[in-house]
Amino acid sequence: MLEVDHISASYGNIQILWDISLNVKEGEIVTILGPNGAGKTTLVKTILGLLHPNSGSIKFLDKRIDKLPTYKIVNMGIVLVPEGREIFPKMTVYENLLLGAYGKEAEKNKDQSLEMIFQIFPILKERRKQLAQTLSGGEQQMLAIARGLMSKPKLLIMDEPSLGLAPIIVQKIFRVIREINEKGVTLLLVEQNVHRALEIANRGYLLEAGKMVLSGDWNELLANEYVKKAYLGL
Amino acid sequence: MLLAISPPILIQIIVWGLIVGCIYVLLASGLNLIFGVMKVVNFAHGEFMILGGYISYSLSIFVGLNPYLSIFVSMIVVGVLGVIIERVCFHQILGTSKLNELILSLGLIYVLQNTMSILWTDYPVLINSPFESRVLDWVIIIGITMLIMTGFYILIRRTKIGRAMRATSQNRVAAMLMGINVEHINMLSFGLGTALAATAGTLLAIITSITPYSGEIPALKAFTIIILGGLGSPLGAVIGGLGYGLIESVAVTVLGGTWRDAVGFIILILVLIIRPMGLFGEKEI
Ligand SMILES: Nc1ncnc2c1ncn2[C@@H]1O[C@H](COP(=O)(O)OP(=O)(O)OP(=O)(O)O)[C@@H](O)[C@H]1O
Ligand SMILES: [Mg+2]
Repeated sequence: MLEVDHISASYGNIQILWDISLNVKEGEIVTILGPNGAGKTTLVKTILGLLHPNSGSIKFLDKRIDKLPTYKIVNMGIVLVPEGREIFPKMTVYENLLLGAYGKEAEKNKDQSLEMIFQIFPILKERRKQLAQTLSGGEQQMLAIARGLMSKPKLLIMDEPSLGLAPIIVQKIFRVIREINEKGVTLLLVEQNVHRALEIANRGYLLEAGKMVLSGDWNELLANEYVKKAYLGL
Repeated sequence: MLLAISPPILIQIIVWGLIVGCIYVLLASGLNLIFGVMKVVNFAHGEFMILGGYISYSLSIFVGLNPYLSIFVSMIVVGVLGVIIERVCFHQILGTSKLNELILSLGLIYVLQNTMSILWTDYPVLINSPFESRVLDWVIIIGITMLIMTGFYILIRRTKIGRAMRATSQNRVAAMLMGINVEHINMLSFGLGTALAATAGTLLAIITSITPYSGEIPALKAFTIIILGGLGSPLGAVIGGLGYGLIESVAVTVLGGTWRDAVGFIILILVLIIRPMGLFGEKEI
């Protein structure tokens, strides 16, 4: 479904990503792991066209997307729940959700999507008339995820959705991820929480200092000596 | 000092303040929209305004169109021109550097002024109202402003495209991630902003004569108003515009006409000292 093929990317003169390859197949949950500053966010930004690779190619559903503007990529069905929420602060929760359903397909299904979202996150229904900036941090994160779901993505990319949330909410978010995957949405999940991520993912990639150092099935990675030592504290 | 003013003069001050305020509201709202969405200060905003006035003038002279109807025609013409200028000029340099944007919009001032000077000469022109009664003109000016601002409000607040504009102004990257074509939104916002300026220009040419250079001072005042109102705050532009008109009207009556242009800037400087984020703006975090 998504094929990232030997890409490099830089901010100005500083190269961040070195020869990265990765693929996601339809129906999978794939996770990208790695320490702070490894380049995970840079990689997803590059997939979404917010940054264009200096070399290599990115294909989605067999079409080249690495030179397309972001809105076209989004309208093809790749949706990002960005790191750090990035909600629209001075709009209501409801308006934020409507913006998630900006694309034509998503707009047709918006009532149905809203119903589903309010079921998953009842708090958002309660707060739907409130300005998004007045939500708590955790609620804002839920809103960002819900807004992503409103877009009816084919591939949903989430950049550290559990960052800064209470354990009980993290649990809930991982449950939601599994649920939407069962509904047919393919997921690419960036996480620092290695254990949790590998529990729900089919496969994973380990990114360090802008290079892909390891990849494999979830159980291979969990059993890997290096991963155990460096990331699981075993 | 106000106590010494007799009631009829007080009414005159208020009415004149409101009329001029209407023009400022339209001008400042357009400027504010462009700034909010594109983060570009359109220094040539006053020239788009005057161009709107001239187009309405020509329509009323050569086509015999009622000036209050020609507002809507010149609004569309200037709006389309705004879209083209955004596409051809601003689009190319947006995000390269603030200095480029500054030079471009300063340059546009002279391009537009010279063009208007060639087309309409430098002699002052006035649009003649079809009505005998000045009072009727005032009522219509206030009514048209309310109509246009209501339309603008509905567009921004209640439509999908308006929501996309607000989204782009609040968080550009997130808007892109929603599948919004932000370049498209830039074009529309610039077009809509200049269209609003054009309506202000027609109203201005109805109450007083204009030359190709009459846009400079009102544009400066519109900058003051959106700074006072808080950059990007739509309500701030409305309250700021009306307030500015009223204060100016009081100053002209009480202190004399020489104070017309100075008083606003004195207020601006005072407000910036006391409340650097503007009266209605929020602190940047
Ligand atoms: N806009 C930018 N300009 C220049 N350098 C940047 C920019 N954004 C990120 N970087 C640098 O790129 C590197 C990778 O950053 P990135 O945000 O991709 O890391 P990450 O893996 O997502 O980290 P984290 O887990 O902390 O979110 C870092 O060294 C960072 O300083
Ligand atoms: Mg990151």
